[in-house]
Amino acid sequence: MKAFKKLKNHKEFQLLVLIAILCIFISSRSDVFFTISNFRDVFMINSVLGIVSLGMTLCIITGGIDVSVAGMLACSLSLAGNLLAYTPLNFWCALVLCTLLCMMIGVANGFLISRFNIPPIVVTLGMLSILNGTILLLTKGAWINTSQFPREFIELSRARVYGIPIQIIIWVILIVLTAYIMKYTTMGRSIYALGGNQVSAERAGIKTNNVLMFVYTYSGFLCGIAGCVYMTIVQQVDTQSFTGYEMSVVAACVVGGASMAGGVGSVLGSVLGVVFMTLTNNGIVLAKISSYWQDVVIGVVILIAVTVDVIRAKNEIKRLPKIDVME
Amino acid sequence: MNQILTKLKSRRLEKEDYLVLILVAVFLIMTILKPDRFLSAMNLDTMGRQFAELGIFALGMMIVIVTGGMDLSIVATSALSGIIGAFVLRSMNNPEYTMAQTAGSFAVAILVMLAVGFIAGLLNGVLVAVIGLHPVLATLGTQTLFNGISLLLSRGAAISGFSPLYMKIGNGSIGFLPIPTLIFVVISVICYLLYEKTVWGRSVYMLGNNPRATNFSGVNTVWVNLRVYLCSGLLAACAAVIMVSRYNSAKMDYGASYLLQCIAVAVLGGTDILGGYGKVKGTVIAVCIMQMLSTGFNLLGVDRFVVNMITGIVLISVLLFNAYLARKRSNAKKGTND
Repeated sequence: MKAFKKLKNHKEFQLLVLIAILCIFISSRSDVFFTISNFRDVFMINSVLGIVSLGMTLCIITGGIDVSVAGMLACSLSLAGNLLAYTPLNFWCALVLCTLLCMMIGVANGFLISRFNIPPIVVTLGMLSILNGTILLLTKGAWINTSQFPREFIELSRARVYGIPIQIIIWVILIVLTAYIMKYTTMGRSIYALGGNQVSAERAGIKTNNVLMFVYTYSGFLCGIAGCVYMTIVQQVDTQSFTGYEMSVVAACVVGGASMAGGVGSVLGSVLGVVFMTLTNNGIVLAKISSYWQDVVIGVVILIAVTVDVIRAKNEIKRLPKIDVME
Repeated sequence: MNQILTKLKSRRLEKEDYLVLILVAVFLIMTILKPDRFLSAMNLDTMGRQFAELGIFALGMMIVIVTGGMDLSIVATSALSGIIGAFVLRSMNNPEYTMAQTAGSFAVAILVMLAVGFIAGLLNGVLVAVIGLHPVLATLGTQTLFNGISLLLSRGAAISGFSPLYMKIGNGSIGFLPIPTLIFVVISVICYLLYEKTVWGRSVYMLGNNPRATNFSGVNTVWVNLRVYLCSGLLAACAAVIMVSRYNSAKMDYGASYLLQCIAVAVLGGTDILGGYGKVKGTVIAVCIMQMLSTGFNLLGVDRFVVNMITGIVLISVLLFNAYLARKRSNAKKGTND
């Protein structure tokens, strides 16, 4: 019972309960929902969201935000598409090149944010517009279709390991990697320290500039991979497919308990956040609710998640002095 | 003559003075590059219509940035109020109406738009000021919400079919002055008086500099901050009134590119992105610069995407320049202390 009480206060556990309730609700409205093939398809499509939100969680934990993810995804997608369709390079080479490109963009973000003390939202918003402009200028918004891709790529993108699509496996590997970084490396602990209190972190000898550089570069790294993963899923290139995508990413992270006040958030939380958003969107479709409701639901979910978070934090602060008096 | 020179020399150049110089420079460069097109009456008229919307957005964004916040929902608010206003206009469009009745229907529609802006601003204000959410997250959420509602109401289509007279607001002129320019001038004067001459305005600047000290000095920071978001919501609705008329329709993504542009304009106008400083004068001059740049590039045949890209580059380079100046200043201070 004591263990349960301890568990009950965990944000991640509360979210899990919420997900379970959501599952029961949707499956009562639709028989297709609780099937392996539905889950497989839905999570395959949302592995992109999952991968990107890992990086976003790190940014949010440091008290920043990276809204240029949509631009980086589009960069990675169009570069990978053009490399595959018009050069003899294979998918893995394209993946490496795209990841490097996005990491460079991430370095630029991190440099501007850490060295010049410009708010992350402004830097990444500016970067988003620069990237979108550049992509449209270079590609003229042209699509690349499935027929233009080599046959090996199409086969690779349909590959499954023990029935699990390769995209989900990439997502899981990146989850493990990120969780490892956050839990067992100095960098991971520094990220939490920086988010918790920048001044204390500096006094504790953490080079905050380097931490910020790492966080935004890592976000770029993940976007580079995610862009290529997206291409394996849809097998075509539309440079406009990520317009407004940053909202969904932020929503997933915030629902997962990451707080922009800094220092709060976890990899598990953001994974659960992605699962929650995925199931909500899937539920809207399966319950035959008009898809025009989708954005309204996402907006309301973000606002409720953030509000609940802040109110809870306020209550905790209120409770603190009392304990002091009691003891 | 010498006296005037010394007087000029003794007066320290403010940020806004530099902006005037940049404005003149941009104007001259564009005039030299495209003398026949840039200075034509038609071009000046078009510019006068376009920069009004951007300017109104920028004035709303500016006051939010002065508090140290950010209103990412400003364009979504405008789109939502435009769409709801367009529905009202369409339902009240009756060719048998007399002049007075038509004017009445316009007044009702404009009031509805302003009311939508007010409610949207109120929601933002409650979330940020009363509940205490981070402005970026709160307005990101409301942006998604407002866009969702706009999409739900309009199904992504353009709402049109108003009385043709409504077009006059955005496309008519009084004398040689386009009506949107006049509206913008009136609104900037009101904003100047509100921001820089009222108790509320001064409290906003104090709040941006040091919220805690402001609170301790007896200012109701919650109320002050709430009114800032109300103000930006109302200004977004004003921009919607012009935008609906100029396009003679309302659509979700008409103003989409204004979000980044109005932040860029506010920052270019000297507003401190960390809060505490910002002047209506600077913002107005910056809007003119931005409009001349984008029109000028358009005339020079530069791609529209490049103009968007340049907005981003201008934003980041102005911020870099400000950061450089701030660092230089703090270094100079350190020098005198030693």
